[in-house]
Amino acid sequence: MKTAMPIPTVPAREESGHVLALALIAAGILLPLLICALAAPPLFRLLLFTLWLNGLASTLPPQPGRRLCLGALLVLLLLTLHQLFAPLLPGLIASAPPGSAAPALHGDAALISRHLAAGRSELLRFARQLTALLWPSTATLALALLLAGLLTALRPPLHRELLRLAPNRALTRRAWLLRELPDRFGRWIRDESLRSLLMGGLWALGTWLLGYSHPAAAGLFMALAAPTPFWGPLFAAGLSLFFALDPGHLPLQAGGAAIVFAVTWLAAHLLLTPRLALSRPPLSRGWTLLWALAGYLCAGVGGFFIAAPLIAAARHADGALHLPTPRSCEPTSPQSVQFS
Amino acid sequence: MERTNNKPEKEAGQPCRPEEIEYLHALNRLTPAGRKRLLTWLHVRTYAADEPLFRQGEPALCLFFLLSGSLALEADSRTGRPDRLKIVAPGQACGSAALAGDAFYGESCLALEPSRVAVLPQTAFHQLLAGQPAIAAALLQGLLEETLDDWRQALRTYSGLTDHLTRANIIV
Repeated sequence: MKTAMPIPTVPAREESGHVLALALIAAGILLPLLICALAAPPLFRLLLFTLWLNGLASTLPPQPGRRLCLGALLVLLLLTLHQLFAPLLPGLIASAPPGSAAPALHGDAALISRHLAAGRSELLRFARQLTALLWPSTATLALALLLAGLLTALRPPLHRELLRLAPNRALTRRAWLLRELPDRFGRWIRDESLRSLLMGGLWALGTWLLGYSHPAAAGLFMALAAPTPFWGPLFAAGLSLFFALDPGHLPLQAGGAAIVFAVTWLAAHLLLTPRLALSRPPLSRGWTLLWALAGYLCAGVGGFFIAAPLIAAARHADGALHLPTPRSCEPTSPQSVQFS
Repeated sequence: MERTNNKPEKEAGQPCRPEEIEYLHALNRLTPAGRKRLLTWLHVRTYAADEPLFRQGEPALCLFFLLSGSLALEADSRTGRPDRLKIVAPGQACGSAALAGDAFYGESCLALEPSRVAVLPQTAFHQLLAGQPAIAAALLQGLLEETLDDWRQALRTYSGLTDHLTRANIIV
């Protein structure tokens, strides 16, 4: 009898048979958010920030004192960062001034320069739209903090009541869902937020030191791409080349960017991966690329950024919905866990 | 056996009253304040005869205290007929694997007659362990005592059986 066998974080089930189920769960997550974003952007921001904060709050230590201290610290940090960046953000991702694309160039250099300028303009437009959609007002942030705090305070009684109302035959399943759903999502949100913060911050700093025209936008793209395993940072680094000053500087800045990228990647690996590897559901690089490209085809750059996190969220939801069996916690192959 | 099944068909849990957990062996070491704290996390369920509480191989997420009725712990066997390991009497606990960390139930548990149980979710134990470790430790001690009693009884039975077989010259 196996009574002390660890429950796996992700049940090792057949992957191919669950693609449709995953797509359905992903659609179930995406559609309400999409409708909300289109119909009422302020409500979307409130919902998104409340979910994010609630996820972070579920990873706070269970000791009441430490929980309160860390929660207060998080609130202060968020409010300070918001106040600090709110006036600066529009300037940081503003369009490049006209004429900055070296008009004296001829031939291929002029063509490359025109393409770079067009790409840069497109990316900056996307960044501006994105920040307009996601960046919350102080009131929204305060309300989200309040709601997340309330939800965190109400979680134990809510948990008790939901468990009590479960029918006998669904007791174990309900207990599993109530334990796993906040735990998996909380750890995943915390870990991906830390990864995005670290990689986005280092990339913005590196591109600023290299003299890129819009290091804040480059950092924003890296932060958005960091949750996409392996391919995301590569894609964001590629996009950042559009922010190189001009074709003359491009080779030098690209070389510098390669070094900064290596440093960023290494820093994320050395500082975060050993601690955070388990919160990311295993998804092969091939599938990740396929989903990301499908996202890109459907919704452009934004689609690329959200495809892999969406699938990760769907896999977490799928794992929380299905009970594991003792067979599913036999050691999986080393390839099943991939780091980026 | 005592029968207190007012509504055996009602499946959702009911709030637990303090007098219901007074005679639970595993809670012997808890202070009245500790019991009161634990009570907020407990709820009472009624199971019909032959209804399973949990099955072997399911993740162990709830600890059950039998208030009335009787339960059987059974393990799957190769013969296809489950081996009955123990009959749980009122006042005893089952499903202690829920407090052993991430684990699976090592046996199935089913009600032999209409039975009432108090359910303690694993989350409650983790919260107690973090916030009020004294209560969690007292609960663990109580469960350990109960497990040791079971173990001694099993040894006694086994030893008696061995003696009997030795005397009958089946084992030399």
